[in-house]
Order: sequence, then structure tokens, then C-alpha cells
Amino acid sequence: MKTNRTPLRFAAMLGALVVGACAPQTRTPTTSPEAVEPDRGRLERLVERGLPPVIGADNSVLVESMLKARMGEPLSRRFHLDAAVDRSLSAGASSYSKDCDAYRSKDRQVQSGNCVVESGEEMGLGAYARLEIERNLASGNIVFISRPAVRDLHPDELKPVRMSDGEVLEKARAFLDGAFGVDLREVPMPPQDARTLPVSSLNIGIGNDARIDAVPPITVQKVAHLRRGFAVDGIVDRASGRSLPYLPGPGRAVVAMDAQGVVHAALADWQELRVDPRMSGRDAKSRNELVTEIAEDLASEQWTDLHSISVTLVIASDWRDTHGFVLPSVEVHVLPVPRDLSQAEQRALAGKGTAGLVRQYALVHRRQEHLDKR
Amino acid sequence: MRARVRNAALAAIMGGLVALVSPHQASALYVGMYAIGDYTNTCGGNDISSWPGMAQAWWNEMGSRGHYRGPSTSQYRYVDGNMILRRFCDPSFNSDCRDYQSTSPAGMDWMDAAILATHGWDNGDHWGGLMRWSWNGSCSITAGGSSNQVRWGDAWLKFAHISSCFSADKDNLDGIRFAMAKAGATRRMHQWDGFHGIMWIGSGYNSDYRKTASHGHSSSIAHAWVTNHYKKGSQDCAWYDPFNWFGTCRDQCPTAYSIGTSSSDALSRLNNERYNNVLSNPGGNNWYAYMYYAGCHPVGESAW
Repeated sequence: MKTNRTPLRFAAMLGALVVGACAPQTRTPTTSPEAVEPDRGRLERLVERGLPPVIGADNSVLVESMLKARMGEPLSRRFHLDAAVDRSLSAGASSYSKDCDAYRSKDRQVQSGNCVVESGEEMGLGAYARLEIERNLASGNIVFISRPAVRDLHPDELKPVRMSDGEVLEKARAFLDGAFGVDLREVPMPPQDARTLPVSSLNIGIGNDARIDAVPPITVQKVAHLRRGFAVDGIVDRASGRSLPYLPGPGRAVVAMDAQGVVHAALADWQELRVDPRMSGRDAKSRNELVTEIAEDLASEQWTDLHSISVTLVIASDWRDTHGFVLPSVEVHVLPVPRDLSQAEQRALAGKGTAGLVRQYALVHRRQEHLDKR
Repeated sequence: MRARVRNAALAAIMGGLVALVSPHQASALYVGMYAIGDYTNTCGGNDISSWPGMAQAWWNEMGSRGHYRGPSTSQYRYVDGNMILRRFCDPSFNSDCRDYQSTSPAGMDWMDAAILATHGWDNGDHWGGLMRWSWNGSCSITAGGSSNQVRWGDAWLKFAHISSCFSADKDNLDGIRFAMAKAGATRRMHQWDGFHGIMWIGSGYNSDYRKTASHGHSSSIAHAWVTNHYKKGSQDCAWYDPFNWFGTCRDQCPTAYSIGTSSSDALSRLNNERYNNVLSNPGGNNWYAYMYYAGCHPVGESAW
């Protein structure tokens, strides 16, 4: 802790001389202190409108389908530290934390801390790479980060990445399989008629007093952002003919590449899941029960400026320290504003709630036997 | 005056040179968090109880990395309470502004790195954020562009993470730099990180903020911010399209932004500054560099 930090008194003195001269548009206080109660009826209608049509009065069959989601082999069986080091730290490892030894033991569970493998010095100015595996592999958190040596960089030196999105996706999947041990059955490929691929271009742009693109943007990395998915059967809306061949599960993967190769990769919450034998379709909530539960929850947050709600089915995890139990759920996205806004409409949001909200709600009743620790 | 910022004068002299010529710092930063989850009827805005938790995930991780979170009796953790403009505005705007204040409640510019979480909007050519109570007749903070409320960095602030909608809109990029420098001051902010369009709240997103703090020690803060907060095709999807294969979803679009005296200076700062590699103060804000995901399409704004 520093003790020699003193307030900048000169700033206050300067302020006394230069008082704000212009008045930007600001949010002024409301004149009425009365609380504005959310309209419960409207909330329920918005939730009802957002729920998938495959959620009905009786969801026992739907829940059974979700409990039978097909999972791949867990990381605890497929992850190999040496393979991860070989495929990520191209300069080789310069140090292993002592907690990495456990990955070479029989139970492969680190108990005391994260396993960190490094090349170079994190605090320094040289090139550095780090592979970190969270203590418990079943929690599914692995990250690889690398950076070049710190140096001044002229825009002309930025090397644009020119790989196609398809090539990036292929390389990302190969890296996740080979380095992190991800079972690719849990990384669903887009269908032939997909309009988008889960790949993006990370750009750097440079502007100045004259223009925002004084140096035109350059793609410095291509990045695959992948959502974990489990194959499921029988989730079909007969009215529209639409179906859900995969459901999102807990876990996301990111793989970033520059012109030289993979520079960053991460698995987040790619948890090892099991099915709780005590849970079944009999535990399913009805559509009405879900509507009431979600609307009550949102009402408690005073959502009065609410525009729309969208809901998707997801496989959530009921985490139990060594694994998670499959928890059939819905993910609710609450939008306080319309999807598309003009500049004038954006400005009119002054003083209103604007951030979107994401919450998950179980599609099953949680009975005491489900909550007992096992 | 703090001893560790010892190269401000050097930076001023070397203003025409790029950042890395100056010595870097690797000392502990003063880190603060300002978050609102419980809004008031006086100023409006719906509650989002899990918002402060996201900001705190960043703040906690910074603390676990050895940065200074304030005296044990009055830590730099400000949630709800008397969250008013006065903590964030510069005395050049109003002589009662206290962005530099060291005593509790400490101002934003007392910190070296800080996070501010609140509802926001695009106020023309700059960001506007909602406060909890009125101060000086205003329930809001505005920063950048034509707003003259905020001039962070003339005291201490170097890295600001604005967890707020429209806090780094593409169409407002040119003006962000004006909130990062004050006329006549030798100190300036280094980096401003925010969002293009609407951002999202959820307890499941706490880890994005924690990882920003963690990864920002290993690689650039800019990369840590944009990579951990980018959500591609996973927001507000149609029920039949949870993987966005049919393009029904929207994105969350983070932006990282640095300033400098030249294109190379701004770029080098964006690429190299970490929480444990803090460069000298920028010599100017004539240039700015920004990192973002091309084509990112949030709710409330056009695609980048």
C-alpha cells in the first residue's frame, strides 16, 4: 500500500476558475417519488409470447428428451497435459507449477491449486505464454494465452490474417480436440443451410483528429467462438416443422489465431455432467408454472421499461463440486429496448433501463432429493 | 504526489515519441468499483441485482492479483448508495465536482483502474449513464464528445471499464478521447473500454469480468476486454436457433480504445498495456486506436 498519495488540490482550484459552460442533455429527476409498479399482466404476456412452442402444458416428454441428451467423453478422461503443452506452447515450457504433477498421477485431479505452465515471464517485457488448468478438470476451465514481446508497433507492421471462416473453424476444432481433449461430439457443426459460422474477425482501427479510419481497420486475429451442444431427439414443433437437433450445454470455447497460429484459447465451464437418476419427466413444470415463475422474478426487479423476452431451451448444470447434474432449463433473454434503434431513439433512452438481462430457470421442479448432495 | 508515477514529465518531453521508449511500471494499481443494481424512483431505471456482482468479479480478481482496493475500513467498492455525478465529474465542469477525491467516497479519478456499471445510452456524440440520485440537478453522467463533465486522467485514472450500454459506440469513438484528457494537464487516461450498443447482465457473466482482470496481466488489457466480453450470436435468439446458425441472434460487442500522439503510439499502447505493464502517460490524444469484432451486431445499434 502506498501512503504518499495526496489529493490533487490544484484540480479543485482550477475548477473554481472554470465552471462548466455548456449544458449537455442530462437526465433530470422525476417529479413523482411514487414507485412505478410493474404491470404483472403485461410481463406474463411477454413471457408467454417468448416461450418456445415445444413447451406445453405437460412437458414430461420434453424433459425426458433433455435428460437423454448425448454427451461426449469428459475432459477428465481426454485431457493430457503433455499434449496440451506440446500443441500450445510452441517455445516449450519453462516452468510448471507443482500442482501440475497431479495430472500425471492416476486420479488426475489437482487438489491444491491451478496447474500453470509458463514460457517466459508474465511480468516482463518479453514474449510470454501461459497454459492454466483449473484445479478440478470436471469444472471445465482451461486457458491458453500468449503474447509477443512488448515493442513499439507501426500500423504497417500489423499482419492481416487472411484465413477463411471455414478454415478457422476447422483449425479451432482440431486444436480443442488435440490440445484440450474436447470431445468434438459436443461441438456441433452448423448444418449445410446455415447462414452464419461461429467465426469472427478481430480488428484494430486507428483514427485521428481528421477521421475515424485514418488507418483502415486490419484483421489481426480470426476467432472461433463455440457454444457447447448436445444432440437430442424428438424436440419438434409440429405446427412450424422446426426442430432442435442440439441443445446448448454449459460451456463455451474460444480459439483465436493470428498469422502465425493459435495465440489464445479457452474453455469456460465445460463441466463434466451426469444424469441424476432421481430426476425424470414427472418433475417437469407446466408452461403456466414457468410463465408465473419468470414473470414474478422479473417483477421483483421493477422491470417497467420492458420490450420483449426471448426464451431458448438449454441444458444447465447443477454443480456438485466433482460433477454437475443435467438440469433441463430455459434461458431467458429480457430486452428493455427494441432490437433496432435510430440515433434519436438511442438518445431518448436517457434515464431508462437499457441493459439486457440473461437468466436461466429450471424446467423441472427441484425436489429435496434432487438438492441433497451426492 | 505519488512517487510511482515518476515519468510524467519525461513523457511530456518525449511527446513525439512512441510510448514504449518511456519506462514502464509494474507496481500495484489503486482499483475501484462503482456499480448500481438497485435504482431509485427519483432517477429511474429498472433494478438489475446481478450487475454489481459482475463489476465486483473484476475488482476482486484485481485484488487477488495484488492491486490495492482501499483502506480496510472504507474500501473502494461503491455499490448503490449515494451514487451521484459528483464522484465522476471534473472540477473544470463544476467546482464542487470530486472525481479526484481521496477520502470515502473516493472519486473515479482517484483510482488507477476502475469499473463503472450502470444503465447507459447514446447521448448524441457521447455516452450517457444513469446515476442513482440527483446532484446539481442531474441524474446522469455524460462523457466524451461535446460533454464537458468528465476529464479523467488528469489525476490518476488510467484504465476505465465502463460496463454500460452504448459506452463505446462506433459512432462516438472520435469523442471518447475528450473524456480522457484535460486541457493543460500532463496526465491523461490510457484506455477506455466499453460496449457498442446494448450490453447484457447475468450472474453467469461474472466470469467474463474476472477473466478480463486475470488475462489482462498476461496479455493486453484491450485483448482481455474484447475477447472475454464478446458474445457472438448468443443473445436474444429465436427458440429454434440457439447456435445462431440461421442468423436470428444478436451479439454483445465490446470495444477497447487507447489514445496517443501518433498512430504508432496509440496502437502500441492498445497492444502492449497490461495491468502489470503500465506505460507512461500519453503525450496527447490526437490519435486513437480501437479493437473490436468486425460485423458485431448488438441490440440497439447497427452492425459494426
